Amino acid sequence: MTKYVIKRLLWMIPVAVGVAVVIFTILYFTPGDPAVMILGSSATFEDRQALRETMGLNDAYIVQLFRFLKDTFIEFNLGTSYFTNKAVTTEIAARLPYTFILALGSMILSCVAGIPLGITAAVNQNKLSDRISMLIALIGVSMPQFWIGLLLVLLFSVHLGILPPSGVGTWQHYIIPVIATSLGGIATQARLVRSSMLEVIRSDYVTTARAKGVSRFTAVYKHALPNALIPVITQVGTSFGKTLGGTIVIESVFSIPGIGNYMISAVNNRDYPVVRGSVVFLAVAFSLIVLLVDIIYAYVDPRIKAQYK
Amino acid sequence: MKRKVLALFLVGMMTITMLAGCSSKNGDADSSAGLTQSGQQQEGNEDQQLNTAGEILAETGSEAETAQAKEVSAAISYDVSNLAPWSSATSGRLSLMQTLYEYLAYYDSESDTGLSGILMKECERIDDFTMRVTIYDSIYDSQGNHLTAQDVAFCFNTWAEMGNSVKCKLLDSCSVVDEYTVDIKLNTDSVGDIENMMCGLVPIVTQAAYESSDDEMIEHVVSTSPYIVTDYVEGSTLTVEKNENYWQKDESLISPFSLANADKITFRIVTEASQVSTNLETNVVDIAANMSSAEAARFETDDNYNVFAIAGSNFHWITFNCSEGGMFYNNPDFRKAVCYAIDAAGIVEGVFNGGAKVSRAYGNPECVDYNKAWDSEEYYEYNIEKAKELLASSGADTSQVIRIMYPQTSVNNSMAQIIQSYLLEIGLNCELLGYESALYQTYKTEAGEWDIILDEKQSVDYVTSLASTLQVSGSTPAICLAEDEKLQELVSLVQSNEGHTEENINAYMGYIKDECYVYAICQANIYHVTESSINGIVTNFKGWLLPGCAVYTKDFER
Amino acid sequence: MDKRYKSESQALAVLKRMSRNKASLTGLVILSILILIALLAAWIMPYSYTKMDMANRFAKPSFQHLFGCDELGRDILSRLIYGARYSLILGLGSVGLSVIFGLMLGSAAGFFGGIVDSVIMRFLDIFSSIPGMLMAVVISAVLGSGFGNCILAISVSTMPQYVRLLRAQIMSIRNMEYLEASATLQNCSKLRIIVKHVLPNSLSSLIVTATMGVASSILMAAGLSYVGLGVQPPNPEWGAMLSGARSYLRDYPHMVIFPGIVLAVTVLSLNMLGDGLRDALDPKLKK
Repeated sequence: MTKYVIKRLLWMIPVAVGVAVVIFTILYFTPGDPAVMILGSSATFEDRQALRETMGLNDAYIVQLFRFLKDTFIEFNLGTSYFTNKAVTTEIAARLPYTFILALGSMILSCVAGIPLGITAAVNQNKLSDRISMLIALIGVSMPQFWIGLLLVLLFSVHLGILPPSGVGTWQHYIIPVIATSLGGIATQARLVRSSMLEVIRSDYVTTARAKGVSRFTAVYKHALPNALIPVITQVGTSFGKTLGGTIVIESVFSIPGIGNYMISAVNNRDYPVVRGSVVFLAVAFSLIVLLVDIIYAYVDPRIKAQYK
Repeated sequence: MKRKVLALFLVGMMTITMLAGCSSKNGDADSSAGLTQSGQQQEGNEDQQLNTAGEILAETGSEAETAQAKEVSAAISYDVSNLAPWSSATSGRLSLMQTLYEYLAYYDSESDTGLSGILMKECERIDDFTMRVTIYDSIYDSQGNHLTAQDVAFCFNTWAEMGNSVKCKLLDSCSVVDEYTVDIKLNTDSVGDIENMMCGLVPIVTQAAYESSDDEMIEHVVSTSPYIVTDYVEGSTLTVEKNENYWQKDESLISPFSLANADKITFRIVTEASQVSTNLETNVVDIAANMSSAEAARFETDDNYNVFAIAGSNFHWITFNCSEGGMFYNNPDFRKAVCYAIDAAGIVEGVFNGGAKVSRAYGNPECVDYNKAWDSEEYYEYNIEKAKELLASSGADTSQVIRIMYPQTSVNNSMAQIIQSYLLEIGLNCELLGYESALYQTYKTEAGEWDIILDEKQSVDYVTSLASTLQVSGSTPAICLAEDEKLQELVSLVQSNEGHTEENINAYMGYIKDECYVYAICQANIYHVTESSINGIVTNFKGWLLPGCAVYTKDFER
Repeated sequence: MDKRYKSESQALAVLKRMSRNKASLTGLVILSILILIALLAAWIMPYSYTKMDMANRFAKPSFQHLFGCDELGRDILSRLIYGARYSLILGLGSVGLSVIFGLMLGSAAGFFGGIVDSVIMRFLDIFSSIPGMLMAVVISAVLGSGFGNCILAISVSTMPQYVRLLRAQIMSIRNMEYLEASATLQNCSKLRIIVKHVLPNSLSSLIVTATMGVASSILMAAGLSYVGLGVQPPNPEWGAMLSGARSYLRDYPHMVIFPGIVLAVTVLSLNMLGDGLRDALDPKLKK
């Protein structure tokens, strides 16, 4: 197992470097000039050229690429923002907690709501409650996030006056954004749990248990459910990883100072170090989460654990 | 507190303050500017009004007693990433700079020099290149450092060295004359640039505080301002508290921008426009700065809020691609045909819900060198017949699709769509190219990318400041990409101190009108909305609101 | 001959199973109507979708304008009808493009295996660890906003899942005996094998993923519009309409509610259809 983990960790290095090269290359070819964004629209070509020169943006592609790779992977320095003059690592550290809370909250909510919906649907397959459960799950995933977010604000903040409309500070601030973020996850969880449950319920050992006279309830919840939930772990993990980098719209709607907001304004400003740094960071975080999920998975599922022995 | 209000009256804003409390006059001002029904609001003394000076005060003139506010919360709609004094200017930073720092002076049309002092006691123009500035001798920052001429020179020179503004390269030097006097010298004879640096480009701090700061004041601001930063959550909130030891002890000398009428101000960053009004309605904030006209409309009929509409510092304009090979090359009639086909009043109504003013020249009427005579001159009055005639006489190929390029904002989106429909009426087809800002900035100098540009420009001090946009400088083309020697002569003439005469300015304006290089469409209002217990607001010359200087009544509780 | 007969009966069985699922049937019906509306848009729009009427700005729903008018006095119903073209083409187009990418890379990886496979898979690892929405934003920034570019941006950022899916499918069947048989017997080229044997076998899961992919592409386009990188005006793509009208949510709710409902119903139908198809196609879930 340890060997496997080490192997996986080593594999992450080329992936991270690959991500760095890809994002660097895309940004390099993105039209738009950070010098203009800094100097303002009235800057002359000469002003811009001079600033680009001092920023090292006039160097050849390969020179800039290697400088970036060296800084990132050898000196572990993600650079400084062109606009805020702050170190990208400091910024990420300051902004990550907000996104992390958002992602964690939505992960929990999507499990709490999605798993029961999926179970209900599976146990009552093709009956009315199956249809209703799945419809509830699907309605949430069928609306644009910003729209549902604004509608929730209208309901909870304006009409009921019980939750703050935007910003961060207290736990109440996160309730609406977490609901809006988790709607996609709820549908995914419900679907997955449903199909996985259906599969397990039909499997031999549940049938055997039933034949032995175990009650339907016990058979479903004691025997079938734990096994049906195993694939959910993978799903939860990867979707958590994806949410970390995928809350751009929600953060913008609710003015949450997280990674998503940070990256989108950096893209708009052509703040290359910030975009590159955040993307590499998120990619590494994502790979680590996936690895963690696989390890947990291996411990939970004895069949897989056996493979590593 | 009466005295502070009185001080506000003294800064040359008499005419505006007098308008307040007189609902009929107020209504007049509104209807002429197209502001919606404030006159219909009950009692008339709680009304909004149009601050024609666009500079200092939108006082409602209510009789209610004013009071020091304890805690105020204001929503600002731009992200603020960096509080440092001389970093590159973003909207978010600009909206906070005058609360966080003090400048040397502010624009004051009543003063002989056009300037009044904040840190500055007096100033004197030595020649076309140089301004001699004397500051007060009693200035201390919040850490107790004494501010002297040395510090002022340090600020100007460091600012120039950092080079985060295009104006930086204009500063020749800022040199110390004596303990409290400096000479600010430019390397070019240009109108308004020294004043601009003094009033809006170079915030002043002490060298000692700046150098002892561990982050170049990116987060830990130490300034002479009446407010001290006590808490800052990047991208979310900024809290400032009143500096009880503010250096100017003589209340009558405190500048209208350095008041501290609230003990504690929390700025909340709310970037989503539709969430700004929600924050105001749910009492999370008391003041919503820079609200869009669409959002502000709802509050105008609500007695619980005051809506302050101020003539904005920006105006919207279009320009034509006049480069060789461009569609509009050497064809002023074609350009004019487009202008005549556009109904500016229709845009004011359709895009700004009436909250804008049709422009009459390439520059805002608040500028000191704006010639009132332009208002009555012909300026491409909407005339579709004339447009068709001009189009026919221009011999332009009407089958080609005109590409209208603009930076993507909701206002520009609507404007471009309306212009598209106007041009269709004279038989011109347009394609809209809305780009995000960075892409737009790159493409606007590339002749192959566009035919018409739609954008906005700031115009706050001199109309001739915008002449630089038509100037070919080095390899940078004019915004219309035209190569026109006469235009170049005129623009360099009016930008110099010597050539800045009424005659020359008229010639310059007349020429760009005749050639139709640019067409200014309208000047949109800025809306600041407050709770009704906030009775007046102060904005700086660029229209940014200063919550510390607002007028709070006794009813304001917090 | 024999094979075709068999596949037809399979399709029939799937349809039969699906028809028992009311939800997916409803989805299918709604979608068919929408596609019909999109095709006939030019004829059934009550007004032109770009026609502005300043007298009718923000007009509330009435008999003249069933869904009311927007901030420029344009008929919202007409815009929604014409917008069906944009939204559906956007959804279908971006998924179609992803499927083509997926086919090329996925079959190359799955079929040739070895180095080709590892290279492609590592490339995918790299690609999928960059957040999808950010990828779309960056690509939109590179290309500039616009309808075609929007499709491209979405398809590039959703492409990895199609590659994975097709690769897995191909892997699972490429060693099956009938392929080897046909390779040796008929001396088939690899391309021929992919087209004739691999694709039909992967079709069922591809259809399910693609149906739901169309749904999420439409939503992603709405998100892009929200951050200012979507479809250009005056094209009435639903997401762009929705995000453009959000400032009027309070005062003129009809401007936001109708596009929102149309968009949500479309996406919901696609999702219901997708779910139904998956259940119907999954042999393990047969009754």
